[in-house]
Amino acid sequence: MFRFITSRFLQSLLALFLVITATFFMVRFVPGGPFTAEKAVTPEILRNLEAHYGLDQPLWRQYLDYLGSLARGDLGPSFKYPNRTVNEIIFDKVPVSAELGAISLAVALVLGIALGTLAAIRRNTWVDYVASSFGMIGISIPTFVVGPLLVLALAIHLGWFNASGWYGPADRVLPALVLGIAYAAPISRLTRGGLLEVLNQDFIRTARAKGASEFRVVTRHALRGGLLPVVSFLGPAVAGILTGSFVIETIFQIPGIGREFVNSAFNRDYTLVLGTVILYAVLIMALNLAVDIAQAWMNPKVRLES
Amino acid sequence: MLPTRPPAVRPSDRPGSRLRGLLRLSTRRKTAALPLLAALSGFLALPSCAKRETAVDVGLRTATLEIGNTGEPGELDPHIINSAPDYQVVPALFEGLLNFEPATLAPTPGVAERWTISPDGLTYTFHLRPNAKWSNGDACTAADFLYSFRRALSPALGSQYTLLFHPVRGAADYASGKLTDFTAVGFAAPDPLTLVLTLAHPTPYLLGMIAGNPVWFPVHRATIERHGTIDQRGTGWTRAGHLVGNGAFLLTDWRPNQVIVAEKSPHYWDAARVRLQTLRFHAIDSLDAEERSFRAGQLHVAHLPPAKATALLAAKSPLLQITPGLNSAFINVNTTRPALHDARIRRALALALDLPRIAASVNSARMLPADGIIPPGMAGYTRAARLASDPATARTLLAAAGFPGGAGFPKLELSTATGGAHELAQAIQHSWRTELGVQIAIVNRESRTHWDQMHAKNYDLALAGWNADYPDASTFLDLWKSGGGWNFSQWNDARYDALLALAATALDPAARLAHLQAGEARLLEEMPVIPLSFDRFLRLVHPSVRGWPANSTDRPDYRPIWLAAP
Repeated sequence: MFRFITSRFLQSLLALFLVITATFFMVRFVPGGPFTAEKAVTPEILRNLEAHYGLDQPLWRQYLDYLGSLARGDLGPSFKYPNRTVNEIIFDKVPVSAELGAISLAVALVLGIALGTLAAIRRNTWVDYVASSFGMIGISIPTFVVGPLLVLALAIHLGWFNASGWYGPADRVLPALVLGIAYAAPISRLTRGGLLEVLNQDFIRTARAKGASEFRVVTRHALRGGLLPVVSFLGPAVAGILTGSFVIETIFQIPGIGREFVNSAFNRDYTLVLGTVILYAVLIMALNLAVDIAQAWMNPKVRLES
Repeated sequence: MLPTRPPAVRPSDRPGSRLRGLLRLSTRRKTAALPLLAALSGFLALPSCAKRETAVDVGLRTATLEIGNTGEPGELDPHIINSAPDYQVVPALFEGLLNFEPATLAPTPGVAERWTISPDGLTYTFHLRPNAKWSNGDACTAADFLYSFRRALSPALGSQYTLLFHPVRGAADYASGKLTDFTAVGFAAPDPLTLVLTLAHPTPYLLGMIAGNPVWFPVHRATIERHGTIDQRGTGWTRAGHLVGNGAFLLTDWRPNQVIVAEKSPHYWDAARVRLQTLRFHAIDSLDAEERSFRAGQLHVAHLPPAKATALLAAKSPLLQITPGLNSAFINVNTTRPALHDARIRRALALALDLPRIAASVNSARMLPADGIIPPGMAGYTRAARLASDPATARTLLAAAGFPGGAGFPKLELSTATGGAHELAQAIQHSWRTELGVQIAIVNRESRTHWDQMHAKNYDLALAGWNADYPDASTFLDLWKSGGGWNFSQWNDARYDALLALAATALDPAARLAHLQAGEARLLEEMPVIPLSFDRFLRLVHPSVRGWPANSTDRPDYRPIWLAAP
């Protein structure tokens, strides 16, 4: 166990270094820079600006400088927002995305597992068809359709919510619902499939034979194995709920990190691109490790040795 | 290895869990979905007790104007700002020497209550009002302006609009670092209430430059120096709680990507005339989201997707505000490329476009079809030569240049930036194919890549545009001077240069106008750029907003605005 985690940690560190290096050079080779605008700045002013941010140094020198400040935990100043540092932007925005992600994930899990379980135990009845249709519809209709539709109905016509913003608790409802439904759909499909497989196994028959109620059979025995596919889906999904919430953050104008992640690339905000990429790389690696550990715990057939 | 527990089997289980109830119900088939539906509708009905009071309603009570601001300002430092959202906020927080009349853009008193110009047009004397104050109560004096101009011109600060100081003697050299002694630059403050500008050459549009651009705004010396040095970028002096301005409003809160709040400043010299108590600028970076927020009652003033504006225009909606802008959209023509080096071909491409028809089909609300390169509304400028569609002449010109019916025309590309311009590019492509038989490929690139390619002169034809820096025809005509930094057409024409040189030195307004008109005529004859449209600003304005002074610079004056129930 300890060996496994140590070796995975070292692998992740190497991967992270490669991600940083690749991103650093790739973002520099993209045409245009932080000061490219429709109204081009004069070469004289451009020189002044580049000198201010150290962009006049040779690229290898900038790379080493960046690694140096990164080692001190300093992600540098933002180009687009001159009076803010990347550290500040990340610390400011991550809690917002995390809050949205946590609520959405709760919605997704409760809704997805409940529907998937219902569909599995009432297989090939109308309950199953309704739940499975929800799954198919939820997977097929993208959030940028569901989001504006809900805003149109609940914010504009009924006036129950704001159409955008992140001020009060009511502002959490629509975005969390839209993002939650988007992830509930695949979760319900996976739960149904996983559960159906488990429900046919011998130990379930044993449990039933011993007189366990159907409720107990499902919740205590079947779900544990039945949720395995969901757990492996959750690793990338949790990262996706944070990264992929760009669309939701834009529709509902939520001041989260997903928007910075995408917009920083359009703004050629080199330091902010790197900062957000590092954040997501660490997040995805940590979540994947957590998933491996959780799977081993849930499924005795998996052993954490490699 | 992680511990795994053996499956525990017990004959009974705890009663009463909600999931269990649900499952048990589900065995009675017909009612399975009922509790779920009930729970869902209960959840949705929770906040629906009554119709809420919207932000727009609250604003009416508290004199708070909710403004949609298209995005997050990068900075609020008047010497550094460069994106559209910045320019909506900064004029509320700072005031320059001059303001301008919204309708005519004529200069009006600002911090300067009056001014005189010497007969040779080289010395401008501004008399500042004695009651001009900073938001912390300090007096705003001529020394503050001197300090601010020195800061704006400091090379290390990297201000992008130092060009607007160039008429002042020595300013260009100071900005480039050639001159290091600021006292040699043509700014002087003989006393705390007098500011004297000495110009290098007469500049009839100088007052327009001063009134229109925040790079001429003063900054508060003590605040700048508390957070850094005079020429240091991004020191955080513009944050809420730090920023000291001299405008009608005072920055009280700045929540990034959410909202900027400005309250009425009690120290502003004309505070008695300011009727709003609070301005709230919402950083909504999606036009769709901004329009939805307006419809949900969150905003008094909002931008909207151009396509929606067309529909509202057709429906004659009173909410839609359309303001002509001081800008020009055109096609940059790379005059070093095959075929395009021939003025006859450039002219043929321009004459083949029926701009009124293209504008009507692409976006009638936003696009005012161009009949020249200089937009209407430029103080004192009227167009002499006009561009009008003439496909027959276009075909003749193309044939004369060796491509009758478009036969053998080289394969050229029309570059566009993602976001909106694609329909326009297709309309142009279609016109050239049907009118001239010329096939042009459209290349759509991400905006900064598009601009980068254009600036590197690595393109054939490119959709581009320019916003006026000041209300004078020269802000456009100067772009195509030989060897100019923004002359992406790489068009060099001695006759054009000579006309602009004559205009720059003409003291008589009529003679100057004649030279500028001749310059535009020359441009339309040679077509290094193909005019397309003058784009209008589109806004949704709630009926409770009164006295919104729409103007063609799109930099609002918030002082006269008030809110009243519609």
